[in-house]
Amino acid sequence: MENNQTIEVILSQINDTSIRTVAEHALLSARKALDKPEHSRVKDVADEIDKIMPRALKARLKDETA
Amino acid sequence: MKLHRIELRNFRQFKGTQIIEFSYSATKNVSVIYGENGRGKTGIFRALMFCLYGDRSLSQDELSGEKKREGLILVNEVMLKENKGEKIQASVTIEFSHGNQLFLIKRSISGLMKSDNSILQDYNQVELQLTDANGNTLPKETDPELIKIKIQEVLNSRLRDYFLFDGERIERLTRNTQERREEVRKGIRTLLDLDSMDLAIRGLDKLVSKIEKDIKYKSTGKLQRITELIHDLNIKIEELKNNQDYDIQESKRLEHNIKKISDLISENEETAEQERKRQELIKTKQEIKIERDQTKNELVEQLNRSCQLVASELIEQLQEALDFHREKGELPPAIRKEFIEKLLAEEQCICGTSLDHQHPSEKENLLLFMKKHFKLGLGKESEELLYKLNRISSTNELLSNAFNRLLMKNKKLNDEIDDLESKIKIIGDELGEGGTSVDDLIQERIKCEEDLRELEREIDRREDQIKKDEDDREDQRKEAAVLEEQQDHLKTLVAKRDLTKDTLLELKDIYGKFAVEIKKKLADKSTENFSKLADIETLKDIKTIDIDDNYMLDVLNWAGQRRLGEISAGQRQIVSLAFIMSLIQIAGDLEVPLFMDTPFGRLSGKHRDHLIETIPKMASQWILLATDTEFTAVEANVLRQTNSWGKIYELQKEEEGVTKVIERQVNEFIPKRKSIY
Repeated sequence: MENNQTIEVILSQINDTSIRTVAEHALLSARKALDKPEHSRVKDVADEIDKIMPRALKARLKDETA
Repeated sequence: MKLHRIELRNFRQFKGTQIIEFSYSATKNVSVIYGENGRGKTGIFRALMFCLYGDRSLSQDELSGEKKREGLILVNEVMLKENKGEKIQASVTIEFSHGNQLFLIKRSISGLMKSDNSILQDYNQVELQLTDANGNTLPKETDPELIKIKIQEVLNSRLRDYFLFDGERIERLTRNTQERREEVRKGIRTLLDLDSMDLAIRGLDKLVSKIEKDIKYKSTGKLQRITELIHDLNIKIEELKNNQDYDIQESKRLEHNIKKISDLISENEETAEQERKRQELIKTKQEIKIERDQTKNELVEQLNRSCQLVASELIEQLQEALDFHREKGELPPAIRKEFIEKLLAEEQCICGTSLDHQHPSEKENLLLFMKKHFKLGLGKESEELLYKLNRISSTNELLSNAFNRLLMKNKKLNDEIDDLESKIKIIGDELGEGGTSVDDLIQERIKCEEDLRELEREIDRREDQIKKDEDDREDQRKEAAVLEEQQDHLKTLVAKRDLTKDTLLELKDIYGKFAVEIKKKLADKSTENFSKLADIETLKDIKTIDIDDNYMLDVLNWAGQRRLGEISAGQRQIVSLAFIMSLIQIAGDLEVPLFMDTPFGRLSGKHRDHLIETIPKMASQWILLATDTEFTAVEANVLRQTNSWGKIYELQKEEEGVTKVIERQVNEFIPKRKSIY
């Protein structure tokens, strides 16, 4: 970990495009969910991540084909 | 985020319109708001929080329930009184830059004083004007929700409490109480995004379970049964892990308590020697526990290699039957035919004797052996089977010995742990019977240790269970993966689950490494900052600031002993400031103004000087709210020499409940008092 390297920067360095897409989206969703009521946070984050899956799966398919 | 300007209109003590322009350049980044108690210094920060987030109170107001919902009276009460029965509008406007954008945000609130002098406040209007990096002014935004999102992007509201520190809060932050420690822990996790990562991981985990549930519903036949099993295991493992997390936190807390109590006991000379012995025994116990755990792992590996041992009795019986038939000459011996043929061809016995014409009897014996035992002409496969059986039979003993050795070792280590535990308990009891002034502490520690032992056993047991269930689930998943490929309609779901699982593993890995490194970095940076802020005498007492596994803050003396509970209030304040600064520095891109409200109260002269010299270099913008008693000619002179002081405003009482903001010139400003003395 370099000096002052934030989690955001570390995630942006993930090589696999599809994993990076899901990871970054999961972090963003979690940040937003932290302002919501505690009981529904985990479910909200899971639902949000689910929304990005079609795009991430396309990226994975594209990488596999390449 | 850099604050440029704040305009207050009928807000709190600030009647009419009053303006403060902050100093925000890279070189001149310090602004001082100077005034006596009750003039409205904290009101400036209050105005900032109201304008950005609509806050009607600060966390330090410690309001709760209905009072928290209603908040404080924000509309100037003199104005309300003078205009009884009329609506009075109060507002705060802030101009700030963030990145390359310029923000202008205005929030209003109206108030009305009724004839019975009660005050009603009516929230509020907000508008945001943005100017982009190219100088283009965008249309004014008035939707509160959109404005909220925009402001959250600049500075998340969860972080708001970490940029205003009054003297008391700074000192309180490092008090040795569970509540304050929790506050520090929360601060670290919030500012460094660890909470978000944790939640992201839990969200991914939930999604994996959800997709597996979908696969379960849509699959058929054997796959359906396996996915049901996986689903049940998911639930079971999640529950076990939740309980495990809770118990691990609890055991860390107990360990910390035991350590704290032990430090206190060590200081008593009468008990110090026994305590030292006890600590050595505890250390030995920990080392043996590590060895025992390694042995347990080896046992698991050995067990995987030694599955044939289960059938050892059967193999033995089979071997006996084979030997019986061999003796009768019905089966070939345990020596390969090819081997004897090789000896004959090379005319060299295994013992080195030559099989030439000088030793005819040896050669004859070998030929007879061949004739007797290999005459049956068993098929190649049958011969191979017999040799393999022979080999298995001969390795059984080796495997069994290795397994028994590990079992014995495991037992021996467990016995040693039990023995050490009883010795530790005996010394602990003796210490408790000493009739010394530390009796209560010792009793408390004995109780903590008993609880910890119990907890550790439970954690060990549960860990084994989790491992077993996870292995089981992995086996089921492997089998399911084969079956999934045969059910085409599951393809998308399976791909989705696999990607979610891959991301989950990656995030867990990153989180684990990041959390360990960030703690070390935070501790190192805090120590570095501390060495810049503290005076020589304090540096003799405190060498290191430490952050433990549970994100708890502590200070270590030259001998590495924990001393947070013993340092003075002033020293605690320095530790707090060093820690706060390190948090902001480590948080990376978090450029925020640091508000400090009367921070010098408990600090000695040298500490004040160091603070004034150091903070402008560490923070991107420092707004110092100070009283006349703590910002004297001495402090002003030190600040002036830093060349970072850009603005000073004096808050003066105009009439009861009304404060006037007056700008003074930094170079000409003379504080009312010459020094604190």
